[in-house]
Amino acid sequence: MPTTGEVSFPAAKGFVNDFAGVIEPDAAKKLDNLCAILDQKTGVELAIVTVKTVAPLDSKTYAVKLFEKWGIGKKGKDNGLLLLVGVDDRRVEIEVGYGLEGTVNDALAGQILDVYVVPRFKAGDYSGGIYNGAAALAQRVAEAKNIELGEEYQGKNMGLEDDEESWEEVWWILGIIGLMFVALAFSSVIPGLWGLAFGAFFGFSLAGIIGGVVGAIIGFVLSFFIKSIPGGGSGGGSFGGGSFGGFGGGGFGGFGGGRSGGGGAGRSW
Amino acid sequence: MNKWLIGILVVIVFLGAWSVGVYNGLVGKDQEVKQSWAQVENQLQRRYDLIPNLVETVKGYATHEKELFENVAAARSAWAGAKSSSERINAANQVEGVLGRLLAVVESYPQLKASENFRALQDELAGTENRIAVARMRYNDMVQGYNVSAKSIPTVFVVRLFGFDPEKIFFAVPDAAKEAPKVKF
Repeated sequence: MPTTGEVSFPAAKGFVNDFAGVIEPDAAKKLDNLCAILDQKTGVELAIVTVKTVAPLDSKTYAVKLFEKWGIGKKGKDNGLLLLVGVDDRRVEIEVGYGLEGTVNDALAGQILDVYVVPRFKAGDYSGGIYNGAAALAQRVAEAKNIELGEEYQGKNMGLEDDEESWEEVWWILGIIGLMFVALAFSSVIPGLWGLAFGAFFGFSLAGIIGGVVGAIIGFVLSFFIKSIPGGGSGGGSFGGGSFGGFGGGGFGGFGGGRSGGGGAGRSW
Repeated sequence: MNKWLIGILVVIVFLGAWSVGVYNGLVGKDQEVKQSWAQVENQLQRRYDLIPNLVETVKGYATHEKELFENVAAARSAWAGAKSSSERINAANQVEGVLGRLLAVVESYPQLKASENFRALQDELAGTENRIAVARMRYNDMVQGYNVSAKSIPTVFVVRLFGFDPEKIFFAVPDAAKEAPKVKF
């Protein structure tokens, strides 16, 4: 392990930093959601980083220094995790913050790489390997804290090819499009607002389409009783169906200043 | 006359305030070195604790390596007996050397390498070596910082006056041990 050498590290862009450009866009979105939910529910910060190469450092040293520079994890709790992929180096590292060394011990980190990450990388599937590895890490953290991450993150080998989930997404999109049409068709503020209210209300429990349609119908019916004011209802309608149903906020606001000391594991593939 | 007295007083007060600042700075640096050394010791201890487990696992497969196991045991007790920092550094390097040989021997026992138990141990050992390397690097950085300031011109007087360590020892890694024990996957 070379100890010194000034290397400039890129700045963090979010939880997911695909500097090597190997993660597919929808996988990146799912990863980002996963990390945001993990942060929101457990306070644990999981950073995903891909680079072309870690040279001139070795991969572990790069991971340690990047972790230190970004301060992954909350200050004082040191509860950060880093999944680093050196694509051209064909080397992947999991670096574990001090506070998580008990939860994700080295043997477990190695096992996660062996089972979820390396086989996929060998097949050239970076998105799948990274996602499954990250999900396994998140799952482990949640288990240790006795917290559920939510249905879509259960089961470690949940893939990107999960049918039910993609259907749910299709329904959401259909619901939003339907709402926009309905809102556009009536093009008035009040039906739109009713759509917003009902869409938001139902959007939390059922699929957004039901809330949106019900809201729009009620809005339409009500518009016969209340004198409608023409103009710009479409925005309200689509908002009610769409944005509320998405993942629960918790965007990236910078890492918290956590530290690590070389724990974790690495694999070449 | 009065003017001179005031002038001298001002200089004394100034010098006093300055040396308090330097003194406190040195105390802080000294403390940092000690803390980072404690971290090094933690990690070395962790390695020390892993050895019996590792040896047991290897013994199950590699029955003919008696001499090697004796060397491991000897290095381990040398570490246990080491008291001062420099003794500990030497003993740690000795342990590192025999561990490297142990892991090299493992290469000729494919069954051992394939065993799940050994794989987990290997991960723990690799993680421990990484932690030691990190702790050592941070310790050496702190030592570097201390030594530079303890030796530079105004500070060196405060060091002598208050009996600070004139310099701290680096955790140097002997060239032979630099490569080992490299746990690669």
